[in-house]
Amino acid sequence: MNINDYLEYPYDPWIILGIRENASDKDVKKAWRKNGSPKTGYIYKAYQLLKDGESRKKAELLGPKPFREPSDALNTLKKHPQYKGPEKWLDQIRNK
Amino acid sequence: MAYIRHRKLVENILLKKVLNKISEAEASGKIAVILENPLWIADSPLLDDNDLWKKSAVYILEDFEAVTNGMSRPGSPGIILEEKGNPLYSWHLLTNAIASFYENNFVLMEKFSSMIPENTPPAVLKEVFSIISGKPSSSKKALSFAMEIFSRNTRTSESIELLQEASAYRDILITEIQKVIPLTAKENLLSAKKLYYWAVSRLVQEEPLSEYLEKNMECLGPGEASRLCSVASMQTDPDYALLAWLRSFKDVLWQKEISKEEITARSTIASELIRNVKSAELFTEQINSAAADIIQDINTALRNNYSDISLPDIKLKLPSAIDSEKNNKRFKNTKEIPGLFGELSA
Repeated sequence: MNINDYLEYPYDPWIILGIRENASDKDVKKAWRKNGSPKTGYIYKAYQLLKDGESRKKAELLGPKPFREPSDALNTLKKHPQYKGPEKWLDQIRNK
Repeated sequence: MAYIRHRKLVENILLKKVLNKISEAEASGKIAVILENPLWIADSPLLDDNDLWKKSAVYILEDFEAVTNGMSRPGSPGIILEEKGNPLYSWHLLTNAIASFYENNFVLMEKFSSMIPENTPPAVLKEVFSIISGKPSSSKKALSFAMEIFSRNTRTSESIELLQEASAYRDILITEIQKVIPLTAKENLLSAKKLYYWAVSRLVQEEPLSEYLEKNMECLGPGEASRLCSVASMQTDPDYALLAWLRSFKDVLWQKEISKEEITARSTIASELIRNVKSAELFTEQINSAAADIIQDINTALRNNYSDISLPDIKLKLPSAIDSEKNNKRFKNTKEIPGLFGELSA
């Protein structure tokens, strides 16, 4: 697999195979088999891109896939409790 | 208005309690289900300041104000807020649930929330706590309130939205990246990397990236900005991609410990990038010299920090970067160094 194979693969190969980033060779093979052991197509390509430790390290170093739009980042931001004072809470009870 | 009617009812029940026309337990039970604000008891002229319920209500109001404003909670007044004996019990549980929410302890928040008696006014907020815990809800009102009190950092969200608008203007986009990426990295490092990658991919469509973009991006981690700039340029700007890749390799080696597998993978990719530059006939003396300088740094870092790693395979990955006469001279005196150039300078 050369650099372009990784860059031109349009998806996150870990997501395509349904495995974690710390998956082992065994996990990758198992995931490929679970998907019907295809010999062509996106699943097969994902399998090839991740099949051994060195390939996975290359995939990791040539990733992650960028967002399509900046707004994609919004959904990944953590939510934080916002202090709004007692009245907002009391209004919820008053206007039940 | 139920709110005013309930307040009058509370006053009536308090009056009956003071006149001993009703037992304390009965009064407590009746008040608990209509008490929509502890102030009704705290402000009641029917109760003197030493009255247990009044002291409880004053304490609850202070505590409620503190937890919803992020202030220190008042010390416990030693009041027993038991379920049957005190109409403020559900308010005490509510305040504890809110405090747990602001402490990001959602397990405890749910525990306190689940203890709030269903027929008491604070129970209306159970739905809100449930939404915050990630459970689905059909209540638009509760959902709206949950979004108000539990939301994303406004500054970060607005900056990201601005980045979208700035994408058509190169200079503004470059300025905005410097602001948005550190903010996003604080919230979610992976998202910051994906966002940065999006931005540099956008920029590279118009003209080659500059090393400037790799600066002041420590928030992404050692060498990460250079790595992502390199990846974004690999298919359009091979010489920049090579140098940025090598800068990333050098930075990561000097700043943190990485595995042998990662060193090998980084070298393999560097080797492929060198081939790309050569095949595109872009390997000018300037590029060659710049690459060799960085590779020399990489070599030093490997020697200094990774003496336990066997390097023979890695040595062979990067030979072509120094195959100019000038660089052969440069590395002539490094023959004795057991690093990347040991064999090459022979």
